[in-house]
Amino acid sequence: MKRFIIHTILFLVVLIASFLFVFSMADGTTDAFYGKLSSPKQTSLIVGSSRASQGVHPNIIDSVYGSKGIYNYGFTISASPYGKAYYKSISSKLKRDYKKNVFIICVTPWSLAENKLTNKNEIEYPEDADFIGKTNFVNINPNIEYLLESFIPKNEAIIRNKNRKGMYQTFYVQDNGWLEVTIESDMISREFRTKNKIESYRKRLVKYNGISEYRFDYLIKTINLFKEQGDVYLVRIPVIEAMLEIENELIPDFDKKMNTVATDYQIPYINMMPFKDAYEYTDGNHLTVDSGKKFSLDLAIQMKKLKSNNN
Amino acid sequence: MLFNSIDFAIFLPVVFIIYWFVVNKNLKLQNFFIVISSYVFYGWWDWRFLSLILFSTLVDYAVGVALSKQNDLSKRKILLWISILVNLGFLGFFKYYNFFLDNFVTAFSFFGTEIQGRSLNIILPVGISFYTFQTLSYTIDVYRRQLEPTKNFVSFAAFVSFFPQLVAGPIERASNLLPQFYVKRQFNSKLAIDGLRQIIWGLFKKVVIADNCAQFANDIFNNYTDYSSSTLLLGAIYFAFQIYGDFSGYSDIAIGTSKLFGFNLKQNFATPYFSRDIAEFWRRWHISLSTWFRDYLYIPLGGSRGSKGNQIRNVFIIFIVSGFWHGANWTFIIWGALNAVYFLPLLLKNKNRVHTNVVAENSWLPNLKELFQMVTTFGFTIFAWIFFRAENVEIAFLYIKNIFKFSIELSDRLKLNRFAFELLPLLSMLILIEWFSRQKEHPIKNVKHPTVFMLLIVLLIVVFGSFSNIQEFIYFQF
Repeated sequence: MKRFIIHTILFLVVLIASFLFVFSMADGTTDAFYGKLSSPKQTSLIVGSSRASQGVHPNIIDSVYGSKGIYNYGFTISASPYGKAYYKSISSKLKRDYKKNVFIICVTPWSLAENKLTNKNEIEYPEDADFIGKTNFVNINPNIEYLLESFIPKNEAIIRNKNRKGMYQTFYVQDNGWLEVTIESDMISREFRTKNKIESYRKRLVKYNGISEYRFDYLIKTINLFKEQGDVYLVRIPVIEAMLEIENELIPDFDKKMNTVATDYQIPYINMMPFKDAYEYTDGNHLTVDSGKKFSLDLAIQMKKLKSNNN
Repeated sequence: MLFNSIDFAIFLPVVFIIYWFVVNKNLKLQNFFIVISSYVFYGWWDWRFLSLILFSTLVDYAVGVALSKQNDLSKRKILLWISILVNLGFLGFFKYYNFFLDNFVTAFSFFGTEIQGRSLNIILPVGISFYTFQTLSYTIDVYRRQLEPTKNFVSFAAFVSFFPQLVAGPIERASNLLPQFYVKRQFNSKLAIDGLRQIIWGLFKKVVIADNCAQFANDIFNNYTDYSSSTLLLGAIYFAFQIYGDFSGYSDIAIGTSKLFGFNLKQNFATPYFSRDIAEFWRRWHISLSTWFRDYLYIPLGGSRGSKGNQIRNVFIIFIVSGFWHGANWTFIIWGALNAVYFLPLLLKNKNRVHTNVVAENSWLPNLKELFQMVTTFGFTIFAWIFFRAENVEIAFLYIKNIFKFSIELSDRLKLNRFAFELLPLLSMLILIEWFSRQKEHPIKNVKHPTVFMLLIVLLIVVFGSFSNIQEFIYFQF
């Protein structure tokens, strides 16, 4: 028995140590989310979908607007539409420090739309079963819960992706939460991606049914949560015309609704859609790295102006 | 409770410690504790179905006792039929009721008579096909006077519900497992360490091979209209490895876990994909089920004796029943029938017992003939697996039709490359390890440097295992 117990303990030690060793290598190169779920709590946040994750550069906002350490906590449209799961995740990420912080809430019709496949029963919202709903700990490193429960690729991807930073078609979550996506930038690839993206969103459109009361309520809850701790800006990130047309079909009076929210909760709504032609997009839906920086600069300038006017 | 779950990782050490440190002094306590643990293990999934196991246990125990007191042949037959009807009745109701109903309705409407059938929303109790066959083997052996009926109810209940093999086998014969419950188990360090190694090997096959193959196989089978021929073929190959890794992995974990508690179960898989013909394949794949059908169905039907016509009939019956055992779907029946068709030429030429030894027994590598035979047999098996995996017969035929279009689409190639590069090295490793250990129960048994081998396997599990995408064992549904 003694021999067996020693054998088993040794085996378990090796097993656990191997897991911890591999998990300790996980970082911003692991996938598009891990870096955000393993960073410390944050005082200022940028929230939204992948448009926000790739399009809003925290360092530029900090340097122009004057905020300190704003963190990009945006994910994807399927994981982080406004709802209970994302709200809970945001609440866990937020450091309760009642000073003058800054919050950017990025909105798109998709992040507030009613998915026809879901009903009023909250348990059936798809993101509840996604990593955003399953990950309870969002500030620990290594985030073993996320890696064991939600990290779809095999653990070898943690090691493999570390060496791919900056190579063909890669992503990297920087320390400030900004998702840097490296992708082919030639015209043919871009047009191909844009065509596919538009087609996929056209198909997606039939699954949605206008604005969701549930998601709208959670947007308001998010605004109220942030308002307790600083300045809040409601922002719409631009997309190409074809994508805008689909969004207008999804929620025709989206901007009007956002303006009403802004007025009701006394926060600015910065709609950057009218300037959409000033930027370049990787697929019609996401800003390129350079355009993201330009957009972040333009946004920070607008935010600063609004702040000066208020003062 | 899944073997590859956190629940089981806690359950197993707790049961192990109580078994060897608290109830180890007394045989009755040991057996009683196994019954309790097994019921907790099963009830974790759905406690309501424990009543089925208990009822089946009570009936077969009572029939066994009654058979021991009865010498009248007709009364013994009645007792046997009570056991068969109760066990197959449960199985028939839970597994086949809706299938027969739907097919009757379809058949009547085909002849112009519309009848109304009311389908029931029936949950299939996990493992019912396995423990039903296990208890049936006990009653049949007692009826045949090949086994002394037990007078010890707790031992019998432990035999029926023994948790390592309760939900997906191996289907143990009472003659092998039941006597092990009559003797107090003494801890055997060598056996337990071997069990632990077999568990690790089973986990490797499940989380590294089966679950990774499942991701690709599921994607390809679920979207088969989007893929070209080459990818569809790859999907079928991946499914072949998925089901092998899944089920043989489960069997290894079950056998290894039994060893931890001092029990020896029969080997259930013996490197079946190295078979040189389909008869050999069926002697190496799901051995406990194949031998069950052989002993309780094929031989009573006459087996390979009698006229050629009877032999052919018997082969078709055994393979079709075996297919139907897997599930209430025409896909399984066709899968069974297809295997019968593969088997038939061997039977007719009296060549079904040519390959009873291990391939390339005294050499490192197979010769060209053996290699050709193995590849051909594997090819036939893959073809049949398409029916096993497809949701219905129509999809299976469309899948096969698309394979034979011989199309290769460029848009498919990136994905195909990903499929190939991510999985082929792992599958090659599995094939190599199994090839060089094909004469052993499992690869980590009696190796020169077991610690190094274990470390390698652990490392492969940690690095290549699929943990976030835990798949239920395929055979749980049967």
